[in-house]
Amino acid sequence: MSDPSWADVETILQAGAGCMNGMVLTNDEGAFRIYLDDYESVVRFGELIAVVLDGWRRNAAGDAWAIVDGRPEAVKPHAMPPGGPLDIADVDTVKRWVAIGMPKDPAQPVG
Amino acid sequence: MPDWTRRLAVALCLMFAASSVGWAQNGDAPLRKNIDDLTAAELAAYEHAVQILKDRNQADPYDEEGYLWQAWIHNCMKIFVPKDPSTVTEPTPLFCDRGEPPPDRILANPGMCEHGKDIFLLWHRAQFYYFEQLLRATDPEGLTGPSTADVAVPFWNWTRPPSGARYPKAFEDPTSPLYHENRLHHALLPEERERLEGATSARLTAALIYGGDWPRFGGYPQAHPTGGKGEFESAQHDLMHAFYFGGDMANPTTAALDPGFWSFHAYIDLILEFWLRENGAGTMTSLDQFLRGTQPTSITPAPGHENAGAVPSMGRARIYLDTTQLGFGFEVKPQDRLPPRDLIADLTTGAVRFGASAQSPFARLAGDGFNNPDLGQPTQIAQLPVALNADTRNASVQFARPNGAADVSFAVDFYFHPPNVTPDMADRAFRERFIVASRGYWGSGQSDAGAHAPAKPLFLDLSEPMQSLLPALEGQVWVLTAVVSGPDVNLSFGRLSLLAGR
Repeated sequence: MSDPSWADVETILQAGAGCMNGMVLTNDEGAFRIYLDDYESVVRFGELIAVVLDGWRRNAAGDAWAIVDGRPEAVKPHAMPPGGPLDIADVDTVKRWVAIGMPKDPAQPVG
Repeated sequence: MPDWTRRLAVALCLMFAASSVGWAQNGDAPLRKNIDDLTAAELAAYEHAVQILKDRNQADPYDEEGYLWQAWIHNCMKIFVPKDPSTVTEPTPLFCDRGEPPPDRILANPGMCEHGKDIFLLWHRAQFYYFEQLLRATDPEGLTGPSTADVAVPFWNWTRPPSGARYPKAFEDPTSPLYHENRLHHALLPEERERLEGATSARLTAALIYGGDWPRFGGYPQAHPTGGKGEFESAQHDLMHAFYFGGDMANPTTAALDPGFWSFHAYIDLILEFWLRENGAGTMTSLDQFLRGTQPTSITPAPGHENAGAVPSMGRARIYLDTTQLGFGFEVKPQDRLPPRDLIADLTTGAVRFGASAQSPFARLAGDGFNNPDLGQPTQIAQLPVALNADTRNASVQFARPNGAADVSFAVDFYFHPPNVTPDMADRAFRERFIVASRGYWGSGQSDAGAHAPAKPLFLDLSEPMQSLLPALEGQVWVLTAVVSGPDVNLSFGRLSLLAGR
């Protein structure tokens, strides 16, 4: 499986853009509006995005969301999106993209 | 008044006055005082300043120096401000906007209280820094009323019986700008007093502070895997918002519309100061994180404030640690101080052993739980077997709402007991012996909760009862029973699961 690109991640995050775009997030660098369809904006909060998207209980094998009483279950305090988890493969793609340094194009790694 | 009573009263007043001096920092700085101790002139000055902020909203609801904007800063991430206010015909929304602004409006980001994180307490102190500057600037010359030059938000010590029927008397005067229609107004009932015993327990607050465990008291970094709220926020702050005030205070988005918000949180800021004096800032986390909030540019930011990032903020959390730098102090009389450390130690350590003593450490600090059996059976009792062994010695438990549930406020009382003991909520002896803790969750009540997701789980650290039970009872399997209370809970409200550790 090839490393994910920003184009892959942008497609995945698109579902949350309507709600999140224009919200303000902060880190140790300052306060910024988040735009899930903007590369620089997503990179700025990439680690946090990966944590909150992965805030749902997985099954024992870790390859699917555990279903409790017919529904997935948040296991982190700020799990996103509020309406329920993204497809687990998509979340793993985002996590992988963050882990490899959030490149715009994996053929040209950042940093 | 008999002469001896008068002399005693004078002696007590002198003692209180003398003992409060040590808390008056930065001699000329405005002091936050207990709202019940304000002189008539001091209360009038505070009310005058609040009224001026409210009046500004009559001219322009979107005025950053008006009351509504300051209320939005607490929990409004998006407000769509009209490009041309003269064309606006619909009422200004009290709630926040969502999505994209229409063509005739522009996006503004008033702010977001950082609940469920380690910057919860310092975020509110930052909000107060600006709010108090704004109050003082309303009429410092006293041109339309008493001078507001030295106004500070008076605190309401909600761990003590209220001076009014439910709140400080100053909140209950219908002619005062501190009065708010949309809050609970009835006198505090005996059964409410009992169920809120933990939420209003100064002993519980003191135990958390003397314990010196910052995340347990003040919250966890946002990315912490099982973090979120500290125990003070969950067990005290949240329950007070949802079940003591009710009304607008019961919803994070509208909470600061109630002027009682400010005095309620001024005491919480004093509790932060108690932490800092007892423990310092050395173990506090995320101090370099910037705090969300678009404040009026007319206010000089706090010392050390940096303009960083693409949108305004209130600066880094760490610039709000020192009240002297921020230019205010507290007048703290003995009745508003924490209970002494040795009293808390006597209540929770030594001969007090969880499961063996008639009262658990929590019960001795904060009563037997939020659920009041006199008000009917609890809606849900969730149970979880927990083996007592080395693997569970530092275990914690998660209580999670099903995804998609409405974002309602609720309380959970956790009892940990042997399997041959049947939980009987009507049995006070059971409750007092086996209660581990109470936790609260302050929800918006909305079915579409936005940023306040209903799925946010609550966590319970079991290590303290485990340390009392192990190794003597190693190999036994006890039962954790969660009793859920709240007006909107149902049979499938949530579930318990065991976590290996935190």
